[in-house]
Amino acid sequence: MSETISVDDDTAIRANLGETIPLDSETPWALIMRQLAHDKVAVACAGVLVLFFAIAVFAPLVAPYDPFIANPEHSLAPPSVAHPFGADLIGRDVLSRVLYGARVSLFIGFVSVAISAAVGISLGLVAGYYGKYADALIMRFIDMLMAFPGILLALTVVALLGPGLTNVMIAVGIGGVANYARLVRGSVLSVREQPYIEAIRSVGADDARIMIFHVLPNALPPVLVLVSMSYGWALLSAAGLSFLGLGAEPPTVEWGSMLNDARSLLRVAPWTAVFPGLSIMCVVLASNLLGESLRDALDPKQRMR
Amino acid sequence: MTGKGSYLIKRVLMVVPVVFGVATIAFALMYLLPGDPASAMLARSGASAEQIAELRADMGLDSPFFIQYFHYIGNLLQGDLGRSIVSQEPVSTLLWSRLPTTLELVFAALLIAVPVGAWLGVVAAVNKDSWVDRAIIVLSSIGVSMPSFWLALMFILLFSVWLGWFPAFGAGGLGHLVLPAGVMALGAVGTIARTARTSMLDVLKQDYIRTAWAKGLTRRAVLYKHALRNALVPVITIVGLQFGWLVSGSVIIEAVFSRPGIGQLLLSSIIERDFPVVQGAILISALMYVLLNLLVDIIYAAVDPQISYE
Repeated sequence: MSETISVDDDTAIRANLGETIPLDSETPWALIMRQLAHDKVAVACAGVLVLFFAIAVFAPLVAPYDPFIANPEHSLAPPSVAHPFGADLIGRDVLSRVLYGARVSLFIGFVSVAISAAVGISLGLVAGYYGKYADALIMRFIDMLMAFPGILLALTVVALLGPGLTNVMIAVGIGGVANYARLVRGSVLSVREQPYIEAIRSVGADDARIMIFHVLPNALPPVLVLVSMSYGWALLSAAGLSFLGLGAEPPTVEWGSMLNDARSLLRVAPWTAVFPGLSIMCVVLASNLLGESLRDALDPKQRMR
Repeated sequence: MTGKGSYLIKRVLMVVPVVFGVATIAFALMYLLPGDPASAMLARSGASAEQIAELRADMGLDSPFFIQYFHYIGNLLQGDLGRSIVSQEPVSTLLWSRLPTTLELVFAALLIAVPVGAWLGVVAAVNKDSWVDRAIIVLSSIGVSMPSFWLALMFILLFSVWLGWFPAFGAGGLGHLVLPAGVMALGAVGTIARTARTSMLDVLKQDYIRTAWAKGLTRRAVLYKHALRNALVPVITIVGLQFGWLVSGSVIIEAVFSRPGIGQLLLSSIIERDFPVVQGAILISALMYVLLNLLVDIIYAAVDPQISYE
């Protein structure tokens, strides 16, 4: 970069400095947002996510048909102008079902991540802040959870609670707890001994207040990265459990269970399988890439080279 | 004692509480369940309350929590995982008969994913910032984000229904392995390629690589003899972690391709609420993962002279 800027060109240097060094008046969040706005991938991913959330919210307005009503005349109709994504076994419009499916699929992702974050952040805060026995106890528990890789922990919880959409959200939520706990504990350890924490304690703030208002905000940026990345994982896992028949049950429309229904129709109506899967992939890809962009914006040193 | 020796001992000792914890979670799973195995077993045959109570006593289910727990751990140490409620067969027999199918699948997937992923990572690193590099990054992101169950359906559609190259269902010869292993590998390739790329870029910046170039070695010798060997160390760790993801992912893949492995056994047991089998399948999957990662760390310590345990 330096060779393109002549020393005399004061404005160019200022512009260059402005890009890389935060001005005193700018909050870290504003800086991050500004960097993200320059990141085409991040903007595109955010756009995709907003689009899918809009679809979920406005499904009844945008869907051309009622996704629940059978229409035997159109049974297994291939994609056409009337049914752009085709129709399923009992003639329901696949496009309308994909649009309505966004509601449940995106929602279970949200709830799962909220459970992971709430439980994980609390455990991480307590472990990091109090240290000693609390830390040892909580972190050994987290180690145990981490011995169940991938979807195995969620499957274990579903085995215990039984199948169903609510239980899948709890199961996937518990499956993601370990990452949040470890991340937050690490952040807490790095700020716990800072002078300003000492100062707040000396003016009489209690532990809960210090943890929530003074320690936690420092850990939030990396948590936000994890939220974006774990959202994709959560949606994927929940859809996977529904695909296995352990999650959403009819008449609920959900992408994973739509794919489960499509298995037996693969030979005669492949269109019933293509579109729900593509939708899952778009949302997961967008939230993974947005997470990566966020991570890069927060920590330029960790940028993917 | 040397640093490496004490690292290995500490690393092995670290596994003990984790293995114990895994067994405890598996036990708690069973204990927390509403109802118990005795009534579940006999409910199918319509037995009387007295008969259920008798079986409960026989199975030690009326003992206090800790007695049951020690009983369970004791049996576990002897390889006794109980009996299936549905088939009455010993759980260990069921698991042993299913294990080869799952291991065959997971290792076949790794056999594809590791060389392909490492190669893509190296190609991307060597051509950093070119369109080749960008394409590999994009493809690996897509590979990681793709639902395996959907990819499996698309593979069946393309290679089995339309082209008729490979069978879609069952286990047996090599032909049955291609599609499920291919689907599993595609997810792992993305992660491995990214790790290999980052690691290779780090290595290429090192002084000894500059020395190798300066000595006038061929591109091939520098990249593959000097750089790649060093770059593969972090890749080994990722492969260990991927193994666990693949074992847990086998539940989905085995369901789609109707392969009679551990994953399919776990799924059918969850649906039939055959808890001793669920417990055993979860236990063995987690144990394989923990022990394989132990093995990876030991290999890692043997390969890398710089490692020591902080």
